[in-house]
This record gives sequence, structure tokens and C-alpha cells, in this order.
Amino acid sequence: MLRAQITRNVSLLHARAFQTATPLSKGAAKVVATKKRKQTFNPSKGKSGEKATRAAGSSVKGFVHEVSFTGYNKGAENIAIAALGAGALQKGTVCAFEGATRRDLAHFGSFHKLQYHELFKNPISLVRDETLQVDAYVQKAVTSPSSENVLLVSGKGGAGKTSLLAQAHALALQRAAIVLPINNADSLVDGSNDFLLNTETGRYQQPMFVKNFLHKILCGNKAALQALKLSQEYVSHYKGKQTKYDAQTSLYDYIKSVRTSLDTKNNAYFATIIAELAKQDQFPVFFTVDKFSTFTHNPYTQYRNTENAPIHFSDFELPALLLDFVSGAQSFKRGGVILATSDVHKRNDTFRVMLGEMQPRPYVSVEEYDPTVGQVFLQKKVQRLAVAPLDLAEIRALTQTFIAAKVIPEKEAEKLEDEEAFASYVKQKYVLSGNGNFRELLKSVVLFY
Amino acid sequence: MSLFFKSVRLLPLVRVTQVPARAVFAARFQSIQPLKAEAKVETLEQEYDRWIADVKAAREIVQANPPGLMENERLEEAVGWKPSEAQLEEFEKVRELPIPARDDPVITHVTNMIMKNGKKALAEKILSRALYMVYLKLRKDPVEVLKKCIEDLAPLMVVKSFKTGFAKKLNVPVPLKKRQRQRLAISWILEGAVKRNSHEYAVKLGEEIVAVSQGRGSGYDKRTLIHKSSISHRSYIKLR
Repeated sequence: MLRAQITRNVSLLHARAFQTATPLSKGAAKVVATKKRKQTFNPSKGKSGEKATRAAGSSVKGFVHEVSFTGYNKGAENIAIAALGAGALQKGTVCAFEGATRRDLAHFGSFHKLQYHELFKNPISLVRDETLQVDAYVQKAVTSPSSENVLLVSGKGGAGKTSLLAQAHALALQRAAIVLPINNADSLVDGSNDFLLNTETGRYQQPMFVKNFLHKILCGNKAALQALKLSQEYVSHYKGKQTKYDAQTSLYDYIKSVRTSLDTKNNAYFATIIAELAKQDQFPVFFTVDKFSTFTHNPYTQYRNTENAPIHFSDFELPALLLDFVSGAQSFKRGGVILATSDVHKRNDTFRVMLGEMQPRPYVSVEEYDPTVGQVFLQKKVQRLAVAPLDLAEIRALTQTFIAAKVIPEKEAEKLEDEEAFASYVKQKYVLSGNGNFRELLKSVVLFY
Repeated sequence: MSLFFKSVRLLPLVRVTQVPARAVFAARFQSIQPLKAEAKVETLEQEYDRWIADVKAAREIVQANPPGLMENERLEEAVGWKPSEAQLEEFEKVRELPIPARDDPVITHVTNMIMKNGKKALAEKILSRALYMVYLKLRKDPVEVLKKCIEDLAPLMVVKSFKTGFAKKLNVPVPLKKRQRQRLAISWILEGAVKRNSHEYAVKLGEEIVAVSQGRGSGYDKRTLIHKSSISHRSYIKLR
């Protein structure tokens, strides 16, 4: 009986596989359906297509993601730290990003992974000489055109360039400015986004990057964008549907509507939004770019054209726009452009010319010196700010915060109550941090076992 | 002078021809003009002498100025820095003291058990990351947590089988030393960690340590089994 059943099923399977002209009966179809194995590339599913069993409460993330994005800051010690405030900055004090500022900065992506923000309830930040300089810069930029306020932040890896950029964001927001943050310029050139040629402008667009970028801008600058009205009427076309935006529409609504219906070809919405921001005088606008040195590192991107040749970064709309704002070809009526370098990228001639350390040599390869970026910085008067390593007083202030937040174990902290012991501990930390490197200091406190 | 050297002196002088090695050399690189072996040997010997003299001279220079000292002087010149008197005093005070042991014996034991193929730095990194995760989850000193975990998990006894010389083996419960207990506990923690989901071992280990500290680790079952079997075999313990 059983054998007969099996042979019948097998024969039915064969019939299904070779698609004979005879239709299958209902019962036979059922048998085939149960026999068919679901195939998937989803690693969370087993071979049989069923969900793989997981140990309860066990994370699937790697260390960096687990630590940075699991909300461990909620369990942190409550400590009294003043919020980072514009105008009342005191050098050597540790401040925190709180409330709305913190939320907006989180939208901007100002807090990066492996900055160990999870140690505290709110991300902390140290007020340094550089912070005061950036504060003065923002103060000046709020009243003058952005073409006059280009700031280039440089320094060694782990010195605190990205943290300084976060401070700049906070200080700009506190002065009711609009911030356009690109927190990782690498993602513009590393081939991680889709791209297509805009036949009208002759430049390449990166629709998904723009969409995410607009989302950041929308969430972080909600109040300012809601207060701004369009200067003229616009019409958008999407899937054969036409939408009109009159002059009373707020920029917030316009971006929100356009962002979700970006045309796949020849869309000029992003340029329109930037043009609208450049026209207005109501709010200062700050364009900030972290890891700007990606353009000096290798001017040719990972993207390739139809002839399979790498595309130069200036052939992309967003980087070209960025260069325009740096060179002063385009400008916001009030505001500035803040660029930060990265230690990951190589120090070639373009990089050194950008920092004003040398003049370009005539007979070098494009990899060594790219005139597209070099010329901009040769012709443009750029304010340069080199982030210095921490000094003993700053390490002292940070160590006190670590003790207050119980990041340093209480047993060890008890030994540091004596002033002499504490001074000696601070000196130790100075040496262990490679003579005042911010990142290494944090590592020496957190990952020292 | 010993008898041996005396006898050697009395032996007739034998002229040793210096041909063999160089003859082979000449044969291998046969040039058009035949080589004059003796002239070559003379120049070579002169060169050896010069070389030995140079080495002697260099040794004298190095003995007069030890390299470390020279480097220090050069560094001071370059930096333009000299230690203050207070610093020199402190240096003299600390000079004779032994360098304090950085490592906790338990931490070292765990690190060594994590280590594979002699990659200790990697093992240290894994443990540091795991302990950082433990700190973030529990907000307690992670080293203390780990030590308590190991102490709680470690079995007191194991059952060892002894040959009696007959058909039967004796299963006798044996008490463990501290390090043996520790080793079993650590190995169970590491085994438990392997079964977790993350693709990074540090995360798995951190989670396992937290689980053990909360009494949920799979190692507790193993410990209970061992203890049960020890109790059931208690009659084989020989008390003198």
C-alpha cells in the first residue's frame, strides 16, 4: 500500500518536472506542493526554508554595531553635565548634547560608531580651544556669505575632528541655522549608491544618496524649513502625475513631497532645493562634509561609465555642487562650509596643497596631484584649523567625568581620591593615549583588560 | 707548557700547500689567463688583516660610547629637552623598582585559553571587547563579574577512573585544585559562547559571561552532572 503510494507520488513528480500535456489532478498538485523545497539566500533561514532557531536573547550583530546601536546608553549613570551652549563656552569643561540638539544631531549622523557614546546617558563632548575657534567662526558666518566662510578642519586620526564637527552642528543649530551634513563623503565615491546620467546637465546623479541626504536635512532642520516658503511656483512630474507647489508651500512640505517621488531620470529637485536655500536670507545655512579628503585620496571614483572607465568625482552632481560652494561659485547669503579631513586617506600632493603645506609640482600623476581640487584651494582663501592633541588639563577633566560616570571601576577610583595619585594617573593616561590622542585615551579607559 | 704542545713543537715543519679550495674556485671560473693563486692569497690575507683591525677599532669606539647613550644625547639635542631635577629624582626613585605585573592571573588564564595559534594580542582584544560588553550590560566592574562567574561555575570535584588490575575499574571522586577548577569553568564559558548567534566571538563571549553571571549558562548543567556523579561514587573515596 505504502509502496504503491510512493511510486505514484514519484511518477507525479516526474510528470510535473517534464510538464506533460495532461493536467494534474487536485490531489496530485497538493502532493507536489508539499514536496517542493523553498530556496532562499536569506542567511537567517535554514535549508528547508524555515527560520533557523536562535538562542533566546542572543544578538546577531558584530561588536561595533552591537555596542553602538543597541541603546546601552540607557543603563548609564546619571551625572550632572551642562549642555553644550553657544556663547557661554568654558574651555576645559565637559558638556553634553541634550534634548532637541541631541535628537537633531542623531538625525544628521553626527555621532559615529566607536566613539563610545554608549558610556553616558547623553553623548558628551569636551570644550577645547578648537571649540571656541569654531564658535567664533559660526558667530561670524551667521552674518556673512558662505563663500567667505570656508573652514577646513584637519588633524591626526582620533584627534577629535568628527567630534568638533558635531560641536559645530550643535553651535550652528543653536543659532537657528540650517545644517546640510554629509557625514561620510566616502559613500559618495565608493560605488555604494546607484547612479545615472542626467542627460540635461551631463552629470551623474545618485538618487538614493540624495533621498537619504534629504531625509537627514528634513528631520534635523524641521522648524527652520517649515518657516521657509518657496520663492516661486514649481511643478513636479512623477509617474505621469503632475503636482503643483505654489509660493505659499513651505520648503519642508516641498522636500517631503519631492523626496518620496524622485524621478528616476533628469530630476532637478535637489538643485532646486539648494537654489531655494541660497536665495533666502532668513536662516544661515551650513554645508558640512566629514572625510572630505576622500576627493584628494583618489579623484576617480569606483563608478564606471559606459566605456568602463572610472568616473571623476566632479562628474557627479553632489560633489560638483560641493566644490562650487567651496570655491565660492555658489554661495548661501549667510552661512558657511565646514570640511573635515580623515586620517584614513593618503597624504598626497593634493592633500598637502589643500592644507596649504606646499605648492603643486608640475610633473606628477593625477593620483598624486589632482588640479580639480588643488586649484580650488590655491585660489580660495580657506580658514584652516588643525586639531591639536589633548593636554594634561583636558585629560584631567575627561578622567574626572569618567570617574563620575563610574566608567572607571569604583575600586580603582577609590585609589585616585588622593590628589597626588590622581595627578600620577592623569600622567599615565597622557602617555597611554599616545601623548593626548582622544581615541586612544578612550580605548585605554574602556578596552584595557 | 703541556706535554702535548712540547711534542708538537718537536715535530718537523710541514709546508701546507694552500691549493685545494682556491683550485676548485679557479677551475670553475676558468678565465683566459690562468690565475696566480699565491698572489691572490696574499692580497686576501691583507684584506682580512685590515678587516680585523677595523673591527677592533669599531669595538673600541662602541665601548667608549655605548650606543644607547649616544642615541639619548642625540634625542636631547634634537628635542632641546632636558629632564628637571625633580624628574631625575623621581627617575632614581623608580629605577630599582620592579615593573608591576599588569595582568591579573585569572584574566591571563582566560586570555590564554581563548588564544589560538599563539595569537595573544587577538585573544586580548576579544576578551577586552567581551568585558566591555559585560560592563555595558551590567554596569559593574566586568573583571569582578568574570571572576565571580568562574568561581560560581567551577566544579569542586571530578570522577576519575582508576585501573584496579581486574576486570573492574574504580570511579573515584577526586577534589580539584584551584587552577583545575578555574580551567573547567572557563572552558565551559568558551564552549557556551560558541553556540551563540553573533558572527563575532567577542559579542558571543560577552553574552555568555552575562548569562552565567545571571545563572543561565549551559555550564551549570555540566557542573551539576559532575557533582551528582561524584556524590553517587562517594563510597569509593578512601579515607586514611
